[in-house]
Amino acid sequence: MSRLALHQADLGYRHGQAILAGVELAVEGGDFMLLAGANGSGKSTLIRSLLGTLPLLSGSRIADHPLRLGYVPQQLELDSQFPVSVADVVRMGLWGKQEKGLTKPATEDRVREALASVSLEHRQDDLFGRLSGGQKQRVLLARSLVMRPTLMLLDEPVSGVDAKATEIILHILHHQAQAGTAVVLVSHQPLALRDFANRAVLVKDGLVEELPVPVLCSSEGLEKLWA
Amino acid sequence: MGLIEDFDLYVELFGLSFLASLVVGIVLPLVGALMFLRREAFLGIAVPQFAAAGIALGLLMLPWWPTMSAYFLDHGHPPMSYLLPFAAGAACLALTVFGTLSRGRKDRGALLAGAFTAASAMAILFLSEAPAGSNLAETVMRGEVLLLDVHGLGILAGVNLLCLIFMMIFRKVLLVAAFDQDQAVSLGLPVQRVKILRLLVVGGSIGAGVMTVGPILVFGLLFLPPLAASFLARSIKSFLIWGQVVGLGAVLLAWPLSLQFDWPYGPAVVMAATAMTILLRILKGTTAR
Repeated sequence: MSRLALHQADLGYRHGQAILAGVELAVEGGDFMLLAGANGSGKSTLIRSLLGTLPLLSGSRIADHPLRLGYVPQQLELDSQFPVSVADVVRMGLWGKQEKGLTKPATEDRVREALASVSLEHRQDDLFGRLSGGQKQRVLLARSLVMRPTLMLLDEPVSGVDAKATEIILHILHHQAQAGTAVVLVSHQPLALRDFANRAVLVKDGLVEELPVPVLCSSEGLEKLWA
Repeated sequence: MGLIEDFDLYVELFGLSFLASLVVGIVLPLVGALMFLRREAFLGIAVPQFAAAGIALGLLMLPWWPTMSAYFLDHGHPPMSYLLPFAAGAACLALTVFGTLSRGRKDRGALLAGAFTAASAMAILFLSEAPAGSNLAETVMRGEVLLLDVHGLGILAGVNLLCLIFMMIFRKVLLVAAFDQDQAVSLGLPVQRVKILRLLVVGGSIGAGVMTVGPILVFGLLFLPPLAASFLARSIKSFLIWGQVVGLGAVLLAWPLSLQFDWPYGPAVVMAATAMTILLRILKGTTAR
């Protein structure tokens, strides 16, 4: 079972002060972990450190092998003018080292299958930039699913997404977690995730604290979150 | 003198220049496409101007190298292998500095304008002090591709071939990193190594282009083909194909224009590419209705 952990880790940007200090966090297959925190609390820093794109200031990042990391960024961070089709975006998920040697027909089958899983197979030839926010987010989810990840890291995947698309995305992620994938999801809307997450982590005041999901989603928990 | 009747004469006179135009017509639109995808199209104007300033610096320093000065007196220009490090070095330096300074900034336009002005001023100042530079530099800056000799073509083709091979080998890393750098890292792709290589080969390609065919032609082929392609592209593949069509179309179309009307070749390419860009924009408007 895949496992990713941060041990005694200080997280932040080079030449700057640590944004999060002494982080102890481990995630493994079957977890559906909600990372909650106010804007600017360091949630994205934590996700990027788990992903490995942000080097740790100190401490260690321990990843079991083979770890297949599926990453879903906020769709707003991407260039909507980029001349790329929906199928192109999903295909990029298969351009890692682990998928080397995959034949073209096999690649196309995987792309179609991933798009079907987010109910967007009929849009595969459309320009990515022309889709709605929710559809873009589902395409990015398909890009992550196409690589059959063992761990998925998602940065605000339901931010700016309508209720129907939110429900579709969360059901897909729930299904993935039940199938043994580790899912770590950043959100500032914990209530929407109450019925799906089985672990919850609060990011606040430079610290990372694990709480039971019902506690974080209670009125006291939410008060603590937004205070 | 008719174009068709004197075809053999034209081949003898302009054969090397024609081959050079094909080289830049194939490679520079791809380099420009990469810049466009990375939202760095603005660098396409500053970097060639810095390469030109690098050439001017090379001409200024020519008297320091007696063998190079002797070559200049014999041939009317210094060896291309002497100018290349100046042109490519300045282009690489500009790419690195602006890539770093402009990251995440909203005032990229002002930064670009300042850099372009500074590079232009440097080029003029260096040339005013260069004993041998002004005539040669003026010809190059005008885009008179006809002066190219076999050594110049060799260097241009070599550097651009290297650039083309690099882009083909690392096309996936380049495209994913341009779209979503975090995704590229999470896929285990060698993003940092490719970034350094990219600066070198793109800087080399732009430097060699400015040195041999002039900055006007380089500007035109970096900017216009990707811009035109973006109007009609529905996928990465079609974006790259349309860029190639416009780039190659412009360098081919410019030859009869240049010969018939006695236009400098560089500006003729830019005019052809501009016309094609406008046509594609109109075509997009028509098909969208």
